[in-house]
Amino acid sequence: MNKILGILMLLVFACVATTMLSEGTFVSPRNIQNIMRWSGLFGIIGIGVAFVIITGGIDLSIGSMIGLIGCLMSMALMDWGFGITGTLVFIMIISVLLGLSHGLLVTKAGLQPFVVTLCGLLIYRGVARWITGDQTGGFGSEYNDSLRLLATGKPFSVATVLAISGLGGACWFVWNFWQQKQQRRDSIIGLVVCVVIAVIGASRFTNLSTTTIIKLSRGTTVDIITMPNDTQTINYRKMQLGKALDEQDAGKRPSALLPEILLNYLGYLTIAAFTWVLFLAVKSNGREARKSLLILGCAFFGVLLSQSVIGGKGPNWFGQSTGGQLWNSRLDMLIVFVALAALIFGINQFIKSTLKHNPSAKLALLITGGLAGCWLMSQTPICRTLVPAPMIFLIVIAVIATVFLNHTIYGRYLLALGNNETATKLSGINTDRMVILAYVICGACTGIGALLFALDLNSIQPAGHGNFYELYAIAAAVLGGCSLRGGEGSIIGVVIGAAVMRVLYNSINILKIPNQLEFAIIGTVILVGVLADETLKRINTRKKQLG
Amino acid sequence: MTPSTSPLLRVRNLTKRFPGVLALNSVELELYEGELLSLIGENGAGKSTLMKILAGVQLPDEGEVSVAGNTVVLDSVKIAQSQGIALIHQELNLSENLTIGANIFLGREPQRFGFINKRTIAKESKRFLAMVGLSLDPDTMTADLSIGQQQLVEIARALSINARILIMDEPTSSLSAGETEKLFDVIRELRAHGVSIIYISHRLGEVKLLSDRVTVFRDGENAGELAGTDITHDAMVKLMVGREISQYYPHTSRPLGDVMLQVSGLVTQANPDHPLDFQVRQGEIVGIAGLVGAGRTEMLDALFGVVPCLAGEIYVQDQQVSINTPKQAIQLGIALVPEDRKNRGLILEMDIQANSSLASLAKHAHMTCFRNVPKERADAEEMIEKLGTRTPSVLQTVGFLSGGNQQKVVLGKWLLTQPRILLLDEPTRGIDVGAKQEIYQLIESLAATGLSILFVSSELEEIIGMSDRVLVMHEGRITGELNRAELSEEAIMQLATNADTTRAQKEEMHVL
Ligand SMILES: Nc1ncnc2c1ncn2[C@@H]1O[C@H](COP(=O)(O)OP(=O)(O)OP(=O)(O)O)[C@@H](O)[C@H]1O
Ligand SMILES: [Mg+2]
Repeated sequence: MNKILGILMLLVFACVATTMLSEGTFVSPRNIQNIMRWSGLFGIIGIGVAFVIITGGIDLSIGSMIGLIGCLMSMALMDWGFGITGTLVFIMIISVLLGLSHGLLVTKAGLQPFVVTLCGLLIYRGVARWITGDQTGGFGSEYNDSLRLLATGKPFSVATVLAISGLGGACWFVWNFWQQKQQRRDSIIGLVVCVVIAVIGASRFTNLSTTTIIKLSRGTTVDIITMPNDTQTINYRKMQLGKALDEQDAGKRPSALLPEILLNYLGYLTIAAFTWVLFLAVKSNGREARKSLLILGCAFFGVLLSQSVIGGKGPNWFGQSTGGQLWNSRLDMLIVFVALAALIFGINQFIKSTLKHNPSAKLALLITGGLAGCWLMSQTPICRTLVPAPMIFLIVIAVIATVFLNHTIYGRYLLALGNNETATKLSGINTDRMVILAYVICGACTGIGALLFALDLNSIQPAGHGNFYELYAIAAAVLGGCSLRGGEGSIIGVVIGAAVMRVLYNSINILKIPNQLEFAIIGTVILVGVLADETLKRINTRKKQLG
Repeated sequence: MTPSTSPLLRVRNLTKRFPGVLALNSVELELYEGELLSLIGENGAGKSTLMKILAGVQLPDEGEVSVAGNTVVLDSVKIAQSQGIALIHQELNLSENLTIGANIFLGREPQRFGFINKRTIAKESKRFLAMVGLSLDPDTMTADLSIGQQQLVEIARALSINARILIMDEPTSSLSAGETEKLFDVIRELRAHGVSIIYISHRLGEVKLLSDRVTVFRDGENAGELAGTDITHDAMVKLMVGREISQYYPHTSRPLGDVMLQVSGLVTQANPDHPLDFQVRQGEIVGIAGLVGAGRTEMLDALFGVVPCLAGEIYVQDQQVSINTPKQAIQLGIALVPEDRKNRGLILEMDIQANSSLASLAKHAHMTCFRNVPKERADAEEMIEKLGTRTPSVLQTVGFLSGGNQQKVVLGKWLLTQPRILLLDEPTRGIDVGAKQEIYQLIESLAATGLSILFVSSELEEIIGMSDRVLVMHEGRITGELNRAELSEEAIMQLATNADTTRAQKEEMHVL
């Protein structure tokens, strides 16, 4: 849980920093869509490899497998005439078989996962190049309006997804309440949260008049009329709201702005919630609370300050020439990073000291955090953005995977055997079969990922397609809290991990950091993240021991 | 030995909290030079916690420790060692993939020109091994040793740092009678050389035999102290448990049912030459005695499908069965409570609920795959109740429980599979007297409901107290069978050690 919270903070940090530095590019609907698409693709293969990592194994062959399956797919469809259904069935069978063979080699032949999948990495790449004769494959434009939509389509807006998942979650909690699976209080809280989410999402489909919406938006930070330098605003004025909304928005209804407005109102409640937290904190331990509050306040002020100094208004110490501007923007970056890091440190400190003296403040803290998140979201057009299909695949797969891992006996077996295989086997569990299952799941997820990657790119180079993707997947899993020692991991963490990777990649592009540094930066962030996690853990135990 | 001087080690007002647990509440402890102080108390009383604090493994919340009159801050193992304090942990702590010598000198490898000096290691290791009565080659892999031998290696390691204060946390719990004797000799010798020893054990007989003084903990507090002739079994029990325990072994004579388990000609890999034959009837408690390494664990493993049977037949209720995996064994209603709970019994990283339910998870699943969480929880809580496990909640991570409470979790896990045949491998290892008696009562009542119980133990007293019948093993074969009426320590020891004469005697008898 703490790990997930940590990585979530990292994600927020990266997003906020990039937003502050990029003057709106980062949060444009087009960019958000882009990030979602890639996060979806990498999240899917990340979930796959997470299952293998949970058993204490590893899969290095994912990238090559994606290459091979991409090639096979383009050949099956274009050359061999398998037809759409035939091709899909064919590649799913292939990927499951590959996963199965990995599993069998690891368990029955007793080979090390690293070795097995390393060989896979080499073999699949070689085979892919050989069967295609190194010819770039693809699907032409023939399938643009059919099969390729699986990867390039954008069926829903984020608001719709919120509505659906809120509804689903609400049903789940009602059922929980019925079955008394958890404390009733928890079920009720969950239910309330889900209903709020569903209502916000569904508000997109209301039929309020344009004038009402403009009225509603007044007094919020998303005030439509005063939206600065936005061509949309002008259009709103002209009451041509239909066209004014995001160009890809198929719905073209003014109420598409409603979720944002509602989120913004919710965001205002942060102040109330925070007051509640403050009350709890000061009541339980006044002195320490004041101290940590001071830190928090300073950090917050620092962020506000940095917000006002950066950009064109910022210090111009390096002159106006191209080189000078570059250095000025670097300075901006530094200021923002430091300010935000201080803020996160302050928040962390505050949460810790509050929880230490008043464990019951947890709920209040969570609510405050959630409301603050609402406010942040309302500052972006995310609710109006259309969700790319891969993201939808990811959501579905992640839900299934979470249920599988946390609510079925097999998920429990996987976690158990990752921790202690002997004891698990002695509990009457066929551990070999479970390990094989994990590799098969990984194969299947890789297959789905490969399918989407190929359809998305529409140009598959046998030698390069999918190179290094296994490393992105593994990195997402590790960032998301999977331990390479096995026995530990959560699906939601992996999904957030994948998102962090993509946001970082995107930031590097947007902030014009030299592209060559991409790997170095991502590597450093992962290293720092994992290191910080480990260090904090150590400091905490040490503190606990020292009292 | 009456202490006249000031204490060598003094602990004052020491408090240690864990989340949800007050492990030590302002405890006091004094240890004098050349003294053997026993520390006893129920499971979870805080003994190991205090010892870990003294060894620098954990830090106290409050309180102070002084060695030879000087207050010391023991915040790392190195510092504790430099004060001459060495701890032999309750759970074995050797790296199985290293040799004995490497383990003894782990972290303190003698060097020459920057390289590890293997010659010195070998030579020195031999010396320390000899001190604990082991004549093994220091280059043997630790994984190849029995648990008893590993335990002795641990002691050798502690000796190798020239400890002034040697702490032994349940050192005999996995040793056989012979090895225990050897250890006692070592302990006496060390004491004669002026080493002070803190000795933790749940075997009150040993405590009485060895101790100069006994300190008793209960619920993380000092419960009392005994010295000299006041150290009696009853006095110790009373201080530990807070009440007197009557009728320690609740053995009753039950009517025995039909033959539940019959084994004929069972041959395992470790003992290919000696086929095993025996049977257990319904409601019968059969004790299996023998020295460590007599092949008792191997036999239970074979019955449970952990190691393959090379030959022989197993019948459960007159049906011939083949048991190749633990899964099959569980389906036949067999349960094995393994000896090595840390590696084979528990998943230390998971909570009590997950551990308790692991073996019976499939049985209660909805639609064969969804976990039945309320049932899991109810089961885990029932077992905590039934076995008196001491824990803040069912969601406590098992690795944080005290040794004895971990054992109770394992036992609970297997009882939840509702077995017909219960194989118990040292089930009371590391369990306190009160809980032991509860477990005896439990075994007895399980037998009364018709369970067949095979019960391996190295504690002769409990074998004699509990069993309807005893099989004695020696070097992989069953050397004798004793009925309840014939049971005595001498009879068992003779069969367990002196197998050849016994066989000779038997053959004589055949001749006659
Ligand atoms: N790391 C830990 N985290 C949480 N609780 C702990 C931890 N270590 C020990 N405890 C708790 O502290 C209490 C004392 O444990 P300790 O191991 O000292 O008992 P003990 O007297 O050695 O018992 P036993 O005879 O069973 O070995 C127990 O309730 C145990 O659950
Ligand atoms: Mg202990």
